[in-house]
Amino acid sequence: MTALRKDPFNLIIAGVGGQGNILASQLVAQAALAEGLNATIGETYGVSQRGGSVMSHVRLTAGTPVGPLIPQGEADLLIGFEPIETLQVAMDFGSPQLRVILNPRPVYPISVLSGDLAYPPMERILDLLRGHAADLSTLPATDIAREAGEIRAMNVVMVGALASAGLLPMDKESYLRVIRDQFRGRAREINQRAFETGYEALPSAHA
Amino acid sequence: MDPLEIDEPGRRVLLMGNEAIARGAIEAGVRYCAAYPGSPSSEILASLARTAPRFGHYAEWSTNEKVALEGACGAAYTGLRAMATMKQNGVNVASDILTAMSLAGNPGGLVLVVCDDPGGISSTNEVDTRNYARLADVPLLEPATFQEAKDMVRWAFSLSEELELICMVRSVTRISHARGVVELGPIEKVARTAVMKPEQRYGSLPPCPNHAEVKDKLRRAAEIYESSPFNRYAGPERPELLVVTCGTGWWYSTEAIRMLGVAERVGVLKLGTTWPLPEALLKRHLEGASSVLVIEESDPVLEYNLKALLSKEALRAAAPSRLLGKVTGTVRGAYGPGVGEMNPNLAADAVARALEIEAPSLPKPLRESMQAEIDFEIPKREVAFCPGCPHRASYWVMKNVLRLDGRDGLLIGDIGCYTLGFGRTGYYLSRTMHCMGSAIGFSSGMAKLAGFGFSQPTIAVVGDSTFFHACLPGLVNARYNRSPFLCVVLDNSATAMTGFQPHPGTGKTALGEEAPRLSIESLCAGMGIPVQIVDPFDVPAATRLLYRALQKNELQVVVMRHKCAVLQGREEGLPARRVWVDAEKCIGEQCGCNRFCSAAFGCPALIWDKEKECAAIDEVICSRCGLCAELCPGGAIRITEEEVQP
Amino acid sequence: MSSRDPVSDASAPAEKGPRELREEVLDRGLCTGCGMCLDLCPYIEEMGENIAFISDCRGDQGRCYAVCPRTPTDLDALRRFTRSDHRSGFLLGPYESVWMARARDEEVRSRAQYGGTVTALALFAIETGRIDAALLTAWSQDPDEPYATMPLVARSRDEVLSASGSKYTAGPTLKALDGILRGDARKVLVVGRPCQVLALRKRMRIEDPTFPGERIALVVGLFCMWSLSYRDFEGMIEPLAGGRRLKRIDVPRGRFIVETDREAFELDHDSVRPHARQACRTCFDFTSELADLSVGSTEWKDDWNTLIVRTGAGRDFLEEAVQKDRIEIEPFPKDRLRLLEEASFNKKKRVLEQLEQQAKTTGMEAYLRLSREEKEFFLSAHGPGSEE
Repeated sequence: MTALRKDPFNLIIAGVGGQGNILASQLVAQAALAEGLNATIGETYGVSQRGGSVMSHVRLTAGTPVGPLIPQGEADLLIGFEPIETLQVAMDFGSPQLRVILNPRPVYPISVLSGDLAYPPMERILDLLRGHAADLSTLPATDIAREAGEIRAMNVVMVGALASAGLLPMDKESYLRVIRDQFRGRAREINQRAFETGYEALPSAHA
Repeated sequence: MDPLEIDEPGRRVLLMGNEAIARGAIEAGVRYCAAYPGSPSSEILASLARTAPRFGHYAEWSTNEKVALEGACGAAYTGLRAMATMKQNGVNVASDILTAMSLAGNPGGLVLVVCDDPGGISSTNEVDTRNYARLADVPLLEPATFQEAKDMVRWAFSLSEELELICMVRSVTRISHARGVVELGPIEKVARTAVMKPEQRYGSLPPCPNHAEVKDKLRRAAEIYESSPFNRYAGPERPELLVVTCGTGWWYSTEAIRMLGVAERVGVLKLGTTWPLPEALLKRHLEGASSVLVIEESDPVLEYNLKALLSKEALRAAAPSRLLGKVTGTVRGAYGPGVGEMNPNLAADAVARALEIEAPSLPKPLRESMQAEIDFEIPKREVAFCPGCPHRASYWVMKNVLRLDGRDGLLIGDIGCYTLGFGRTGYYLSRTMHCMGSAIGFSSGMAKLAGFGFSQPTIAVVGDSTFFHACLPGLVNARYNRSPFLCVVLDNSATAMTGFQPHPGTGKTALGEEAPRLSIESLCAGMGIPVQIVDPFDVPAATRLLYRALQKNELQVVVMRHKCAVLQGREEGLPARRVWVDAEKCIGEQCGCNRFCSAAFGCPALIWDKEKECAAIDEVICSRCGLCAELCPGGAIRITEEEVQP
Repeated sequence: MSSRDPVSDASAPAEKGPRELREEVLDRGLCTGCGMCLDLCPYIEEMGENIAFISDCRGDQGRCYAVCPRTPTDLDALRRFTRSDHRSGFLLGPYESVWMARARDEEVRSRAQYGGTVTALALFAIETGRIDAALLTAWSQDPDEPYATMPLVARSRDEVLSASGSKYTAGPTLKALDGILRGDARKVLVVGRPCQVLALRKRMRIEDPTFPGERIALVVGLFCMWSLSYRDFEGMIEPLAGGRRLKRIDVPRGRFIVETDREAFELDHDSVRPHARQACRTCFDFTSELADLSVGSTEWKDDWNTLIVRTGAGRDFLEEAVQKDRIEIEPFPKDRLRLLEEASFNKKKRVLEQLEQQAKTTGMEAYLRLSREEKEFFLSAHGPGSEE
């Protein structure tokens, strides 16, 4: 059976409604399941279809399935689709061992657009994550997705990056098989391409 | 292949909790399923509707939860297995029939699945519907895992048939809206002909003998529960602390024991059958346990019931010296005991306190070390109308109309997507937000107060699905009693908040079949209420129409009709056009003294380009609705019809 | 406190803005409905002659405040700016001469409220190419609002004629001004109520002389004692007119007569007056004192107007219109002038007393800033026509 670096392995995907957070968490969980692991996903999303905070807890284990919520300070890996969402999830669930892969493109909250509050300086966000987590990689996943032909496939680009980071035991092929199972036609093509580009886009992780 | 359709017992699949519940019903050979959508319950009926062609059961979106339960009840009277599903608020609507029909029983298996929302993550309250089990005298089951969600629902049907009594299964958000691995079971092939025989009669009169009969049924249920596999103990033979738990409390309890490393000291008795309580089982486990800690989601329902049970003469000897829980303040909550959602950390805190572990060595979240370095405010991400949402346009119009009217007019709202009218992108316009259709009732009352000095005009705002769900009696009342207010129906052609389920106005059923399209305007006209229709995206026309309507002191309905942008996008894709800001024309901070579009309108896609000092549009978020182009006073937001990358 | 009024002095920046406009004017019911602020700002809109901020603007200063006829107003500074003559004293504001006047054109007179002078002036200006358009107030064409008015940008004889006749609610006509000037009209003539003339002058004074200043060829001000609240007006008219379009309203000496396409009916004048806009009760000016030419009824001969020439521009224009036989004038009888002055005096005195009283009770300074001399003229004297 596939062995995890840590069991249970706790992954969080943090973003905003509409970014495809839930699909990303399912891709990881299905790939894990295909390799004989148990997966539990706990999703936290509010009342809005688009634009609210969304957080998916993905918990992988070789043993009995665990609950859908990760305890505070026990996340091992954080996939960030949005910087301030990522920062806040890191603060609540991260430990000094946390690894972060972040798409540093902001989705501005309404309070910022209205001029009531300022979006924090990006460098400060990155510095904080860099300084307190074990590792931070950033990836311009939205731009990569645009080049892959679908700007909204950013989530799959990020899953590609996660798959290449060497933190999870699943084979690249397992993820691709899930994509092939879940999509048809153009969507399949685009998601495969998004995954592949994301997979190649995180150079530091291949070292 | 749809995992719900796999007929391969033993196969392990990843299912959402709500899909597991649906699968349980499928495996039990359910024939009739009805629901009204509501988070976190909606996916159950959606899954059953999706799989109906394969398994031949019937599934419908009913107009409200009472009708859904009554429909299921009707099916159960004919001997079929039937199920109604709803969120916690829905049980309040269905409670009238629930508390009545339980007295007379039912021959076919009848299951009510309720998905509670502790913490009110997607609700206006966090009501614990387990209290209804006691109120209505019905057996209650509480799954703790995805597997149990499936297995318990399946079992609930046979239990219901054995008792001839409706059974209630209570899920919560962390099961319904979570996913995990479920091992599939065999699918029961139930061939029954629906018939109601001449001798079958169901009425709750006279209530008292009936009430006595249902109490007997409950006693039998408790006997059956004694040997239920859903109740189990894990831990040392003589634990220092016995945790009694149910539902997600079990997950958090076991996680807490792992986190604290106290597996040798603490045992866990997990109950799946929580009303009525299995006495003998509890007696067995409680005897000799000096400390008992109850960990459960929401209200201390199990805790109270346990306390009540232990006050019985026969069980007094088994009563522990310490019975801890929410009542004793041992189990805390984010906002106090019993308030807000449970989680592993709260459970660990409670176990540590029960064991009197001074300072449990739990991992410290980064917040503690980071906080000192954070010299900026992290903007909160408020819930907002989606980009392109017609309700944003409608609220923009209603805000402008109320301001222009100048008489401190009130917007009385309730529940649906338009609940967001309570927040920033609805310009904080809604003055009330409680339950479906209540905007009509509130307004109906307020508009009768002229004689007491009340002079503020009232707009009652309801959604299209809400209109059918709970507004008709209120409108009839207002018409009958001549209550003069303006009712605005925000018709986005879907029950959008809960995931775009069809409703009587959409012309589609849950099964995707064509249906008669009920017309809101015809229904109103039938009541003799003047009704007008306007597209909120035509802002000037909508503003004029609503303003004029508000000047009349009579009951009127205005339907603001425009399809939900997300639904539109799903059905037809994004329109082939580009919405963009002409940086040459945009006067930025100078516009109306300060960036009118992003400051005043509040679309998440309408962002600010710091370098160019002008407005910009986030192409990832923009739905290309183009309303901002209409609102921009300088004509700087442009729409170009062209094929753009989706 | 600065000796210069910061708002109406062009060299000083406006220190107040939207918040104060709301607090000091709109929330206190003092908006005159002139419409001047509307086109300056997307945050301000009008409907049914109500003007409101549709969203809260966060700007801390703005033209919206500076141009409002109910924000602090230094009348002498505006008189100097308008280059109108002072010698005539305080009673009717500065003027050169007062005339009986009427249109020569029979058709104009037949459609006019009184002598058709305003219509004739506008037609003359258009037909001689002095202006490209006249900004007038006409009955609304909207079937949903049969009793409302609308701004009319008139460029032809028919259009000018269609705006004939007095209106008795406060149409926010000035909201259309910037639109015309930003469009193809180079020069315009504006016809407005006294509050509108005041707002226009305040605007012209704080802005660049080239815009809108030089583009406004002539300001014709109307006499106005009060305008009705549109909501109240509609409430009074609807049961009688039943949705039929209004043709004409006449207020001959204490009566209030409304004509529709089909019939005429009379409202009790005393029951109509209490429905005047609140802002009208604070109005110091019933003859449009800052206009180039002011026109009103004679309260005497129904087919003539009273015409007051106030500026050089007004005088030149009138002389030519008379010379080209468009306007007929006659000397204004002395005894009639005394009655006019008396009416003006009484209104001014009443308003000043009320403003003083309000300033005392609210602690807020009155919008109107007058010289001590002018103030005392009204507050201490009994007036020119006083019988005592």
